[in-house]
Amino acid sequence: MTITLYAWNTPNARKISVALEEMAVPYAVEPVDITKGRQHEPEFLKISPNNKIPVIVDPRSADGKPISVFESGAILLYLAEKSGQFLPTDVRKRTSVLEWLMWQVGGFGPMPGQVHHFFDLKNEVDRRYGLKRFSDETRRLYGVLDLQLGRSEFIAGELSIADFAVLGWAWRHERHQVNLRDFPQVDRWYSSLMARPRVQRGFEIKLT
Amino acid sequence: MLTIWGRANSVNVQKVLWLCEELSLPFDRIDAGMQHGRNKDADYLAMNPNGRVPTLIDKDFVLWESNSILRYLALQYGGDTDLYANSPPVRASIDRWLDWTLSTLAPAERTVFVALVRTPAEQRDVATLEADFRSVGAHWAMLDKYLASRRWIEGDHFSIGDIALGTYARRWFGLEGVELPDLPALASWYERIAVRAAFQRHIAVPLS
Repeated sequence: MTITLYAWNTPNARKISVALEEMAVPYAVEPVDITKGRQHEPEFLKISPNNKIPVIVDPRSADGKPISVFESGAILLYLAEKSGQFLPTDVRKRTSVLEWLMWQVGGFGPMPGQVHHFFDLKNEVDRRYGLKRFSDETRRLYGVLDLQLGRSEFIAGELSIADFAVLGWAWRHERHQVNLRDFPQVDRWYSSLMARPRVQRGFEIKLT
Repeated sequence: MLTIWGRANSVNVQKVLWLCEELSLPFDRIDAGMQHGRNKDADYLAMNPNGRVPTLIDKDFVLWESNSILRYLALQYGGDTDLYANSPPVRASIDRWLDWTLSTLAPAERTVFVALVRTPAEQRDVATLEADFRSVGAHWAMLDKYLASRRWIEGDHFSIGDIALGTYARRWFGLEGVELPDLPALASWYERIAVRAAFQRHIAVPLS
């Protein structure tokens, strides 16, 4: 009766393995090789209409029946509800977590993701415009995060799914050309999360 | 390495195994009690004159009484967790549930458990069983009402209160041959604790 995590070694999938480890919820990994286009196979499309990983399948949802969930933000919310962890019930605390979860999903994933993409382009004209646009925006986002972490130990008060969501992408800061020392509160927050054994397991577990 | 004396199917031993797993504390378990014996031997009585299981050995510290072992492990090793809240009202409320399991729940559920799990059907006293079943059902119904507005038994976090109650709840939800009353808040809370890896490892084992 274990949850299956369909994944590859990417920031959005790591958000989920980290969350599952921190929630102490057992899971099994099913690698989906996105370097070989496996995410486009028809069987996978049934549970992942957007052709992406991560996806989870829970054989026993609250109504006793199986459920699949795509979109890492939705997966984090589903797991938080299921385990009763990392998503407060108090309306103010909960709203704060949701604000920053949406912030991550809407910006602090897509923008650094574009930096990764443009950095690798061969055509210098295409590369230069896209890289500058998305690098500038990525740095702006890190600045916003740094300010928030100056107000709060974790992103939204106590440790929450918002932290797991942002951590998945902060993990790749070198790839999107960010030196964490430029953002001291982010640096502090990052080090403290990476010191947690369950977070470490979430990043070490083989997703490929 | 901790040593825990006690058979793995004992509800009081299971509480301790569950908490050790939650805290990632390694331990050696030695079978004792019921068919395993050992607990009336002179060497066992020298460390635990009460002659029951579990007994915890932590280097040169010996402790028996399962609820006290829960408190000790939470205090000694649960440092930055919320397993045993610091705030006096919350801690006292958790302790209240530990006390209630001993004063009220355990005596009421024991006869039902022994009748349905450890007694062949033809040897059961049906009339007594029915009365005892209604009694223990009333206790679970009280807990169900208490849990109606709560995610965990006390405070905003999973605690040793949930562990103590959860080990008994597993026995309740595992009863066969009886129709359990519909207690939705209790069932939701139970789903939440049952998804935890530590529960699945030590508590979800077959009843015996």
